Amino acid sequence: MTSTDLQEIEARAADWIAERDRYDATLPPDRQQALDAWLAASTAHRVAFLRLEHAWRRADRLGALPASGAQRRRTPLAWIAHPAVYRTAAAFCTVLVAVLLVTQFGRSPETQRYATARGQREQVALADGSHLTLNTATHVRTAVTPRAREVWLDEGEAFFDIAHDARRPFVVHAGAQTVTVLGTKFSLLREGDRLRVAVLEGRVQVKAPRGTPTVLTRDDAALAERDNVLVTRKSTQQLKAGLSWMQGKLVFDQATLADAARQFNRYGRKQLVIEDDAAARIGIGGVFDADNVEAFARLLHVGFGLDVNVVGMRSGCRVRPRERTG
Amino acid sequence: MAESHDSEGSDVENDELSAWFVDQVLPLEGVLERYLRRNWRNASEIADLRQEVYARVWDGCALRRPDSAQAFVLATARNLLIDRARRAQIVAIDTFADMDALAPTVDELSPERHLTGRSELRLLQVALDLLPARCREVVELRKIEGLSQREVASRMGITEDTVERQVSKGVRALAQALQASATAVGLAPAGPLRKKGTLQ
Repeated sequence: MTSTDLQEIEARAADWIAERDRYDATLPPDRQQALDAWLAASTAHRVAFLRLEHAWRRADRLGALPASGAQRRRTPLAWIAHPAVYRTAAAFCTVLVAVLLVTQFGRSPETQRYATARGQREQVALADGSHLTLNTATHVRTAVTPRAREVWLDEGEAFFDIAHDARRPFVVHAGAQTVTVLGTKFSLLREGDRLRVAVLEGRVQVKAPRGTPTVLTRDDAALAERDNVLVTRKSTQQLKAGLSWMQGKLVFDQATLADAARQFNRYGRKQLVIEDDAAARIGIGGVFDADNVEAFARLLHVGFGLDVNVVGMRSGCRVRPRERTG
Repeated sequence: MAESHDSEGSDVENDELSAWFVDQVLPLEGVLERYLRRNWRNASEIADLRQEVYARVWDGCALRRPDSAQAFVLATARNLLIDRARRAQIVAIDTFADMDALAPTVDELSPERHLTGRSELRLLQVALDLLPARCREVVELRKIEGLSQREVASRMGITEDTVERQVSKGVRALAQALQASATAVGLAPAGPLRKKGTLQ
């Protein structure tokens, strides 16, 4: 089943519920027969219908509210009702972001702030149709006005899918570096003063404060630090592997265990500590769940015979060769 | 009781199964949603997965109801994720890690907290406030003021067909909003617990 199938089924189910609601729960016989036939046609129809009907019936409890609709709406929670917030609230986590947004900026529509906690990932839809995907421990601020589109990457990593708009360049500020785009897909990883750029589609321009602008195109990756921009060309495959975090995966190709641990430690509160230099140099490859460092540690135990000590629920795992005898 | 050997299922059986489904399975939506989100990275597929789990639970329980709806729902979800991961041909090492992580945690198997009438009301209020203005007005008049669709139409000066369309929209939006808030606050909504005759 694809999501369009599901949407069609849900739309049809909701239509049935609305039609029945119009007749106060008793459909004319021929319509009832049609509904029965529709329900019997597929379990998918039936469960979608029951789920929506359940929600609609739960709403009966609203009758407990005073009928004067105007006052009722000023509840402590009513700020969630802002339509712009609802649009981005497709994923439930975004509600949490909205809390942050409101508490930080009150009613200012100009700048919005989004943040993810460690291990969290978040989709942000901007008013211009652009989409941002924030990786673990990331802070961004956005300002979309009729004249300009600006994002500040204060910390962390984000993938940008930018809606084309020639009259409104899209500018990302990442520390001293400025990245300007028209319409494209690319990712930025900020590590302090250092900025890593990877371009999946289109063109972007990277500019350091005193450097000349460098233009990157599809499959280009760049490392910008102070006034230097180092550009390398990658295969689309490599580039996509670097974006596997968008599916919550870490992809290692000829990485050392030390690198792998550093990557995992960006995501989890549990930290992986490699206590042995020789073990740290072990080569690692594969695809892993970014938020499941324990499974990775177990794999090290099974695959490489390393001792894995879990040091408390919070502090994580210590890894060292089994039975060290010098 | 589903003692019948008629596999197609009569209307009565379907009604009983529906009642069980509404009472026991649907209130687990928050739990299910969190489980899927934690174990499946592609957020855009969560709704499909949820629907597929519901369908499998329905079919799987047509003849016999499980002792614990929650354990059954989560086991169904787990099997579905494994099927999907296999079909996606993820490399073996990854599947290994995934499968291991898929076991439902103790936390999820503890009995879900039921909402009191008051927090259910607040949840609904939040959900209601998420609806587009016109749709919300229709739902408010229908549910809070208790007007019929016809009365809503004349009060708002719009056609009955328009009201019906707004209700249809409202049904889906409410379900979506209720699910989002239930998932976010970590509570499973309480189902109506007043059905006659338990189905075991």
